[in-house]
Amino acid sequence: MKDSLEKILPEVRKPARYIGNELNSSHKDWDKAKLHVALAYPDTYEIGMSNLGIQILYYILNQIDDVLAERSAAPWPDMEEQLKANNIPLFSLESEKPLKDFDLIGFGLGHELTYTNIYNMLKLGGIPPWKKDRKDSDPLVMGGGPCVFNPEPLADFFDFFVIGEAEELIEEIADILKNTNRESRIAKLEALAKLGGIYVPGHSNIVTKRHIKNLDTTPYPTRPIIPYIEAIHDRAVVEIMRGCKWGCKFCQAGWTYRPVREKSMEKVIEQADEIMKNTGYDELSLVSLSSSDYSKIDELAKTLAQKYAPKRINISLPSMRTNTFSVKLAKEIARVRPSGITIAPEAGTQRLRDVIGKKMTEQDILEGVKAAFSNSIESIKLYFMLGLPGETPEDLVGICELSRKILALGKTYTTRARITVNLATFIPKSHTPFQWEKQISIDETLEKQKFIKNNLKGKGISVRWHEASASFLEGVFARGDEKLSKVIEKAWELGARLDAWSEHLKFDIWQKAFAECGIDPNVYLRERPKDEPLPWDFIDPGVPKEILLRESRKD
Amino acid sequence: MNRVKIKYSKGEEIKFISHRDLMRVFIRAIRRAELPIAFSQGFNPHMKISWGQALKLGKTSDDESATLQFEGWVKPQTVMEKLSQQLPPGIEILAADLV
Repeated sequence: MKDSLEKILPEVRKPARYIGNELNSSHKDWDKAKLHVALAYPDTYEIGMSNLGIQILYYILNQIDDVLAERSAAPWPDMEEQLKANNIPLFSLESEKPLKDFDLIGFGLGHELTYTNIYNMLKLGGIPPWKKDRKDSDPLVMGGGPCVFNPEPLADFFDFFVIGEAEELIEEIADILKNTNRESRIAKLEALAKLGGIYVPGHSNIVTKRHIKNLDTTPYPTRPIIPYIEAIHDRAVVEIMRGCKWGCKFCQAGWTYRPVREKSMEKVIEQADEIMKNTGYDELSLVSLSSSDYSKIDELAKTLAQKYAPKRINISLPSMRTNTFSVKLAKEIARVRPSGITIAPEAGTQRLRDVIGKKMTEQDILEGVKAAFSNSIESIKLYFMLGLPGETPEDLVGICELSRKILALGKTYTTRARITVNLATFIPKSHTPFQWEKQISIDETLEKQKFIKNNLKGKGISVRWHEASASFLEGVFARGDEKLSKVIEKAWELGARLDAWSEHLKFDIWQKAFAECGIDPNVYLRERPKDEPLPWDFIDPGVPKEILLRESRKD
Repeated sequence: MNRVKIKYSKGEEIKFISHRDLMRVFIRAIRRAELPIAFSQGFNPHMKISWGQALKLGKTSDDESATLQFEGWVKPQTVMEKLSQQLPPGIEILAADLV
């Protein structure tokens, strides 16, 4: 292995993606472990290493004496080519063992556009991608993460899914698999299916989400692996809260990560101290879905800033609601002056914001803008969605008017004021009040994008948008069913890889794959009658469907 | 305030790490070692380190160097010991001298 890698690494971009040996990575004796787990991230190394879920599970599993956990990520196409040309199976970063040698492969499912990478990694790792083709000697393939709230498009490729927060039950899973090591796949899966929160495709029962009860007592990786190459998030991260109290009707995380749980301030500080000592990062980020709602955010941020300013360590608070308080706090704790802030009105008019449950008034928005510009911030990023349920032409005009109003307000403070308007396409997600809604077509998306672009021109404004075809595919898989597995395979055969990267996404391949499989993808984007059974109905995320139905009203 | 020039090796384990990433490895190791490194002034202070020439990706060497500037007085021997404890396999400090 060493020799063949030696030969191919000089031929590929960013070879450090494939060498492992990073600080805080775990190197255990393969032969002494009773259970070998590969945590596989179905996107590139830099993205996988920024995934908190992978770091948490790696940490918990490696704390168990006779369990070994290693990592693998999707290869860049140049590396895939080299692996194939040299007959090297996709391997783990630590022991450089082929994926097929592990007992369990755990994929982190963060985004629908990674599905062809999963197929590709199984194939390259020497594991039959279709569950029905695997033998007792093949690893079990497990999925976890946000996409499990509609696992059906992947159900043919996975032996089981962990529904909810995997750190709650990963030790139970490891225990069962250690004790059933010599038994058949079926016996293993039967044992696993008895655990709450495990979905074994084929066993058609209601699966109730598992979640951790107490953020203070749950293990947290204060010795995270530090990549040599720059990860997407190149900083220390401490999670301060899980869940979000706001209940925006489009937001899947808001509905599936309930209830809201805070980590105590003492625990956050303790973990922050450990993580800074163990990493040497120059930035500490306090993360959650909505950090303004953390009850002691002011005291926490100021305490940490005071402690770390002399060491030239910056404290950052992403996911804050922009208002006078947050702007002042950000300015006070930042060692480096923040140059921009973000506001997400999501919709262009008050009426539509009310419809989608975004509890933010125009007054809130303008107050945040004033606070930002009066504190010498010069640029504001705005986030809007196109195609929201109940959207009318006035709402699109509203996006333009609100954006211009914000820029004009900024110009009264500085001539350098500028705004960036980001346009996403609304994608209905499972287990939200909008799960029955229609997603707009590619053509409609392009028309709406064009309208905004044409109406928001001039100095100080730039408009950015999500690729319409990428949103289309995301929408198909987000509400797809088990028929889509053959489309994933077909697209893979035709060369689809790394679809989340606009430089790699080839939409014509997908069109061809749908056509060859005889599937009309538009069917998945249609509005669903409220009494139609949904592919994900068997998953219980803790919020009853009646509540979603009640919240789905648009008046 | 003193300046210490270190000589180090870049070995097999780390030869595919770019020069820029290697600089980040040193910066984090210096923080973990809690050495009293000097910082530049201004909004975005950075560590006062002057780096030797970049080595080609994929090459090993036992003649790399960097010069670190400290606040107060630090013995070169201390720099060598503390930093060695924090560096990953593949980087070895071979010498540390006052300049």
